[in-house]
Amino acid sequence: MKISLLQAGLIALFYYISWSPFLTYVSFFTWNRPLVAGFVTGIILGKPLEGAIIGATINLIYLGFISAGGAQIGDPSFAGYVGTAIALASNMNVKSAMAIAVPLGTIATILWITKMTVNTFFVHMADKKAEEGDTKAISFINIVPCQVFLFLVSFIPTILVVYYGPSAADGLFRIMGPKVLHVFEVIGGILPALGIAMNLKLVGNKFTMSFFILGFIFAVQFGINMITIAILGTILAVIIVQMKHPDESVS
Amino acid sequence: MDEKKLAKKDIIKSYLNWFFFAESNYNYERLQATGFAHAMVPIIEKLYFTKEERSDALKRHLAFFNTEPMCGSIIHGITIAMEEEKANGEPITSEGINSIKSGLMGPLAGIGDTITQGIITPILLALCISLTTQKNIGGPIIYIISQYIIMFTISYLLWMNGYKYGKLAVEEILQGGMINKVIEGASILGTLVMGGLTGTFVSLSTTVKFKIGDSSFALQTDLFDKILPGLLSLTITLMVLKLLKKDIAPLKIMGILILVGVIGGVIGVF
Repeated sequence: MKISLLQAGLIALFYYISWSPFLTYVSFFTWNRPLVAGFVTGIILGKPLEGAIIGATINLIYLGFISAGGAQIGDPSFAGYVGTAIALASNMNVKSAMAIAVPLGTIATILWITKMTVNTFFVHMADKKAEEGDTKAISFINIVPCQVFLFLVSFIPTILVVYYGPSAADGLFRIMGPKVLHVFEVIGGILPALGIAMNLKLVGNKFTMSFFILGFIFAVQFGINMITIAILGTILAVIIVQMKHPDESVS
Repeated sequence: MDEKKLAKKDIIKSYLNWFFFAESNYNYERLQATGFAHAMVPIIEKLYFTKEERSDALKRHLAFFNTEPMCGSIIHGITIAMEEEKANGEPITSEGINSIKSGLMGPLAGIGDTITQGIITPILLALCISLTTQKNIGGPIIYIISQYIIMFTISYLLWMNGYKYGKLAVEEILQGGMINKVIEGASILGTLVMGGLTGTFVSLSTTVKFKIGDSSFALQTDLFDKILPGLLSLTITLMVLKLLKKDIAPLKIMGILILVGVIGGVIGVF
């Protein structure tokens, strides 16, 4: 399918919104995530479910990406919005979508670095206004100049990549040939391991690793679905915490 | 002297400024500083009326600040309580207020990031991704609604309780056993879910076959699957974890995985 300029514009707009403060800080946990980004892009392009599924799969790579202290190692939002858009427009399968999402998300980090650097300038503006005790100016500076800049630096590259991206991707695929699809399948099968391992590094320890293997066996050997696994996990957690702390009563 | 008192709506307005604009002007030099100052504006406007007092207050809240915005809300509640006391003549200094902020922002960032980015979000994502890939459009919708409810509840309650109970509340929370038990239990739930996710979405199998006399022996189906189905998927996830623990950057590992996929796929091993 061909993405219209209007559609590309809407996708770029939502990418900007996902990093903007206007839907509250919770955007960082929602509109910013490929699962939601894929869903929104899918709605804009008229294929909400397919978009959501592509976004969900791309999200696996970024599952464990944690942003701390102003550092950002990839842009899951760009990967989600633009990756889903290109995948839907070029009729790619989910594994190929994952593969193209990776470079997209990595290159877009440059937008983050730029914004973090330029915003420093506005802080100095705020210092001057603080000297004058001007509270209204502080509120203004924390909202307007930074967001105007963020809009320009987010919207313009995104609308271009979404509008011209699919034809570039099509051309690339035609050059590369059929073996490429299999390679993408393989890559798409192992990339989620990164997202999951990153999360394990944070919350895993010698004790909890056994549960990791247990959960794996639940899914693969017994075919238990995720919601049931979560319920089992909650039950196990309550039992074990109670057993570990027997002298206190836990309601 | 008239007692200066903050109305609940001032504290809520302050909360909303933070809940929306905490990282609006996120920058390398002072991170969330302007967000913090912006959040304090409704408070400053209610408590201080001279240019010097307002300037002092704004300057002290433009100091470097960074924490996890949801769980860190407790710091703002406490700061508001301190500003209210200071405005009413208590001997609280700028340095005093900022040292409380600095002291708390680190630990709360650690706890907050673990809870919001390490536990709540990945578990919710795992469940909703799973729903979505089973062709259920409820996946993303449930995810969005759940996150808004959870994050709003956590941050609002911590903000208001930080104001009500002040420093004592935080010390209790940081030292109390409750939070450790919650994180412990949540880690068990989280790792189990991660295991399930690995089983569902990581897939690696080999197409290598050996010829032994007349019969052929397929490594994957005749050996690996007999030990544990999905053995290679589990192995590669654990190997990535090992690399991460050796402090190899995630981007590098991404490159390695892609290389492994390309080479393996091309030569026909995978």
